[in-house]
Amino acid sequence: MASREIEWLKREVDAWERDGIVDTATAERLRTRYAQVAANETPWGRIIFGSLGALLVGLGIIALLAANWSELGRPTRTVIAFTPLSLCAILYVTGYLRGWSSRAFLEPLGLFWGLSIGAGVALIGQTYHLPQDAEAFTLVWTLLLIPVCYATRALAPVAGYFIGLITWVSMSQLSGGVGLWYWPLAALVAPLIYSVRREPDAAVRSTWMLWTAALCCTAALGITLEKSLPGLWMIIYTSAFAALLLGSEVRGSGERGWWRNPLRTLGGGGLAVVLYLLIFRWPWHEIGWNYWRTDIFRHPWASFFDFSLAVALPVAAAFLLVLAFRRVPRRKWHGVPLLPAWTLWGIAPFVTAIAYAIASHDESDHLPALLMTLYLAGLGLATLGEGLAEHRAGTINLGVLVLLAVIIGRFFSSDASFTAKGIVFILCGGVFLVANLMVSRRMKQKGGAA
Amino acid sequence: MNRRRMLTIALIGLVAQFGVMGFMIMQREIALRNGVECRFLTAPVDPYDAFRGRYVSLNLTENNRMLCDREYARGQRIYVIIGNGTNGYSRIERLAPRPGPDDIYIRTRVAYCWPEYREIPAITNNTALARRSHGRRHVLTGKYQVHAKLPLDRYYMEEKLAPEAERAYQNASRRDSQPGVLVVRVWRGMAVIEDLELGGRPIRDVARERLER
Repeated sequence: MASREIEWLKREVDAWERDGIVDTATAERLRTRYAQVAANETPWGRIIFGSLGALLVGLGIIALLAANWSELGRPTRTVIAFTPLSLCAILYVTGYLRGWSSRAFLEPLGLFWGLSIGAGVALIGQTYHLPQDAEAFTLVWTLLLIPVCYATRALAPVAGYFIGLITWVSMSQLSGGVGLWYWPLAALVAPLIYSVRREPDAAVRSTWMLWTAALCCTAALGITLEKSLPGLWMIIYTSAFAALLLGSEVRGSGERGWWRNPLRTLGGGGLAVVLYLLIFRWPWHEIGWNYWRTDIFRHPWASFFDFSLAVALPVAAAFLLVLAFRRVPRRKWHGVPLLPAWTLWGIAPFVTAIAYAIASHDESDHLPALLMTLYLAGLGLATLGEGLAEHRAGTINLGVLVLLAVIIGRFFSSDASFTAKGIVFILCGGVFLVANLMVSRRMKQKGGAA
Repeated sequence: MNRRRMLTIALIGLVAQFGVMGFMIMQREIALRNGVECRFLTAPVDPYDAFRGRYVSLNLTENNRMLCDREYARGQRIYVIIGNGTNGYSRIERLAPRPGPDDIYIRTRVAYCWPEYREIPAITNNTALARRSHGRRHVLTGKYQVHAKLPLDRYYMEEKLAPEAERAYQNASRRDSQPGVLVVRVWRGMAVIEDLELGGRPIRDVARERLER
């Protein structure tokens, strides 16, 4: 519970006591209970200012070392390279002995410790004139962050680890390497995120960790693909996002709000963006077996990763779809059995695979784009329908947004005259305004959210 | 996670962190003490690295692109065999997949490899094709141009000295053709830069003198 919510509750308790709703003893018990909750609350102010201090000190050390004092000999430089790291070791052990386990101590320490490793490795590079090899430098620094992540369970080293990994894998792919190592390396920190997420007072920290990991892994998916079969990314990305969305449905997370549920948000948002791109004709140009790319086909075994994902992810999505479908309660709307809208979103990989097969076989970009347009418009309508049936304004707006995006996207990319476009936009806008008005009235009558 | 386990992880992590950094230092110290001295002609230019500070970028006059009999994959391990040139400086003799027992070599990786082509006159009755190809066509020679990465591209200096070093080199090379010489210690495939000289003196001293003047 956030501090402003506790403050609100305290004010309410005072009012209840004044109005005689609760007696003095009950009010006192409530005050005592929420005073304890407030005392256990994460000290974000101290964490943020402590982390900023650690960041500035760490960056200052890096800048000082970059000044490159030629008067200092190699032994002195060696001592200096180890000094920040030794300081972290002393601080950590002292903290352990004195029982400092507050986040306000461990978060800045994690950040400073991470920077100390980078500063130390950079100073060794400077002392021995190591060649320009940003790839190796980033990998060494990133790997040495793993124990820092586990020892402090802090956000900064975990975020640094994933950002370091994505930087390294990007450089590795650009220089002709294979980026598949990203996945086992990313998996090394996954148990930590899982464990932090189960901590009772770590909701905010674990959410940030999960967001960083999920965003980096989404980007890494595109980077690590070998891309020898053009267009395979469409099936892989739609399957990955569908699996995320359905996975969070299966888990049935009680977290409310888009920010607190990163996998669901990323799955749904990512799926919407990819499907939206696929309603246009350009992604369907020159894809399929006829355009097998031998020019970049340098790591034959790495292509198996693409194919494995193209099979495994849709299978996983199908499995999760069945699992999620079996768990939801059956609902009816005016006697008609209703499917939850997310089941339709969940079949996206299979619709994309059909469109991909059509594009590869016929070498046509028109038909797959049309199929995806109809599918996405159908998704918009289904989401809108679900919102109307359940009187949920957010779902209604989401459905409307999808439909509007489809109409605007297709119309602007079509060759229709501006007069026709204008008339269609006005008509669509009118229909949506009227629908919104009717929904608001009905919700007011039924006492739902308007 | 209990605190004792976190402490164990922290201690193992610290051992790994100190170990990796210590190993990096030890390897290079051994190379500096026991390595064979090689001297390469070079041209220094002054740029900047956000983490490691100011350095002079080294541009060896030795060509690290060689003609080889076999094809190499990008990133494949390769050995740069060092020999003595006729001008008294070290030179790159050849690139090899394995070094000989008596070779002085630098262990590195292939940056690029591409097949070599030879131009021969085109013999065709198709006039349009002949015009397009300017009467010539390219055939494979069976050899490959291999570009090896050389781990000798930076010499770190104090932030005020680095630009001065570059100016000193430009003046010296214009006035009396004094060459820049990179002194490198090579030990079991590892090359560690020992010094950068200008006119037989460490470039640091030359730059410092210019700065004090």
